[in-house]
Amino acid sequence: MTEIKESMELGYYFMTLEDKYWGLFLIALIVVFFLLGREKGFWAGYGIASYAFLLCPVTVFFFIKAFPTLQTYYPIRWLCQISLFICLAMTLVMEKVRKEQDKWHFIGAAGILVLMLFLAGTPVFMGENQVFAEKSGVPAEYEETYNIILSDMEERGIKKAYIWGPKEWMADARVYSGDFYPIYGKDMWDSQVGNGLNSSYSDSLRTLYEFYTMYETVDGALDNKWQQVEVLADTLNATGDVTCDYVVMYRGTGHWKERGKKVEKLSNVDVEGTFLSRNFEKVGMTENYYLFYKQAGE
Amino acid sequence: MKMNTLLQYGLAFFWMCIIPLLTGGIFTKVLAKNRRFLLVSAISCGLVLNYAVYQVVAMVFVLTDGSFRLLTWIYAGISVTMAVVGVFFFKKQKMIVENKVTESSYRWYKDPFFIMGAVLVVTQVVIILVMATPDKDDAFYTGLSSMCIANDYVLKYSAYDGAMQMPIETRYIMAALPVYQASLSLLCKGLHTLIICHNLYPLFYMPLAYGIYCMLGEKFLEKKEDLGKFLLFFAFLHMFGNYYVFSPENFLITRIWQGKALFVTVGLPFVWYYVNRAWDEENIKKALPYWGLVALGLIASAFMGETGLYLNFIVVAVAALANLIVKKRWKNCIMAAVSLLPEIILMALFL
Repeated sequence: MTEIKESMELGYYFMTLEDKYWGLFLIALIVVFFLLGREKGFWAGYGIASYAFLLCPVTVFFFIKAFPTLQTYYPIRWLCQISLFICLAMTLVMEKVRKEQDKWHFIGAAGILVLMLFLAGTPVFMGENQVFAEKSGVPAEYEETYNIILSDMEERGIKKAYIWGPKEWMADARVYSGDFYPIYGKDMWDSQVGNGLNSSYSDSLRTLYEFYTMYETVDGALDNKWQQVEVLADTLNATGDVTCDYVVMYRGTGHWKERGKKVEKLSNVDVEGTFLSRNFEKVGMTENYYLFYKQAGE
Repeated sequence: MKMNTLLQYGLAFFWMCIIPLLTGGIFTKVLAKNRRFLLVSAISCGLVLNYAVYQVVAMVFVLTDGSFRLLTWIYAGISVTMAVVGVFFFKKQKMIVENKVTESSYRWYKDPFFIMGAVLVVTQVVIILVMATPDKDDAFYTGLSSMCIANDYVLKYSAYDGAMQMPIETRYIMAALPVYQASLSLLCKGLHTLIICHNLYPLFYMPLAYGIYCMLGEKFLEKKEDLGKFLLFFAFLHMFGNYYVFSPENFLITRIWQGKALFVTVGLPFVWYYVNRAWDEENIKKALPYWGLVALGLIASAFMGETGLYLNFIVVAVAALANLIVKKRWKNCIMAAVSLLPEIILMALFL
């Protein structure tokens, strides 16, 4: 029973998520049914099937049972072609308003478009990750760091480099070049595993992941960031079973400041000195990052 | 712009547009009944056939642990052969020289609503070209492409982990789209997969997606003159569909290069359209080419991801049930079942 209730709650969650589209879709189906002269049986069947099967919270339970590997339910809503039928209905309404092309067509169209603007929701161009880019989505500073490492690799004759750094930076590194090997995945978190970290990784890698996460985290104790920097360098040297060629560390306080955190004391952390004293070689730096090469034999 | 860059973009246009267009000629019987949308139909049919072929060939390479480069060259050979066959069919039907629109007097270029809709679509494409709209999944999907190129294998390890400790999940192995995008990179003289995904996919395939939706819209509209209004509304509504990060509107406009997005914007409407066309035909022989396209569309959906594999199966199955009740064309139901067979085999491999 609990399982069914949870599934229904999930279905209801998606209903609320789609917000006004639900109402618009229902209105559209009614409009299409009455205004489209033909195939009324098909439209009635389509509407009933959409609401009774595809969009009904109760069916979420059966869908998850039938397709457990899909993990989420929302894709089944795509089958309804909600936008298509909303626009079909609007076109039919426009046709009824005016038979001939005249100024009323334009005024009517403009009115409906404005109404849609208010009803439909947020513009897609205002999404969370959408920014003006210089080149294909990889932040310019990341690109700068990758190029520094790639040219350093060329000088040293390294074909493939194992890298360790901020999560997002590592993720983009994989996209930028197949010659970068992050020492662990962008995210080791696995909700299916008891302790939360994917068990396929070695203990050393999980330790390195946890330490860097702690270092990156915004809500962590900022006063001890200098200690964390030392721990990062020491741990990497101590874990002999992990191959790592390059390490990227935050240079300034921008990362934390961007997230609205006070980080005055962080400016006292000597990242460069800490790493250089532990047999790392500095290969370059950008506005926000230090890039170190881990020398062999340590 | 350097000569090499120009050559790369020229090759990209060839492999992403010209080859599908010419391959579409294989389906001249279908195209002949849809002359208003000749270009959209030809490219979409050709693209779906290319995707289906790539999916099947890639599966062989995945199962035999084959080389990515060999896969690419084999696909290139098959693809060019299909395009040549397509040209032969085009010539045989004289479709290029006799592309007359005889069904009605409607001309899109004289319809102000259509022009406004088209301007909106162009605006969306331009915005995508100057903005970066990928989500975090890109690190995985385009990462897979980079790894195929760098390591000459076909989908083996998780792109999140370059150290190759994590075998990739089966559901990702079976969907060949990231490998196909890597192949495009190879065929375009090393044009980066990021540029292919983030720039060329929206540039070429966003208008195609709108075209397929227009075909669907026209199918349901009683007056063909209303197509312009439909396009205008559709393009406009899509710009305000950010109610959810996985909404079809969000997918179409922000990241059409990803599997789920390509499925929901191209694969799904394609199968929707041809399932409808097939059901309209009372004569089973006339419906055959449509069912063939449905079968190809289903394999192409699997190429786009596991979601596509399941969902288009549901589309065909539900449509069969609904039409059996409403139209009582049981022969079409048998055809629907036959068109699902390749999909069922793929499902068995996925599971």
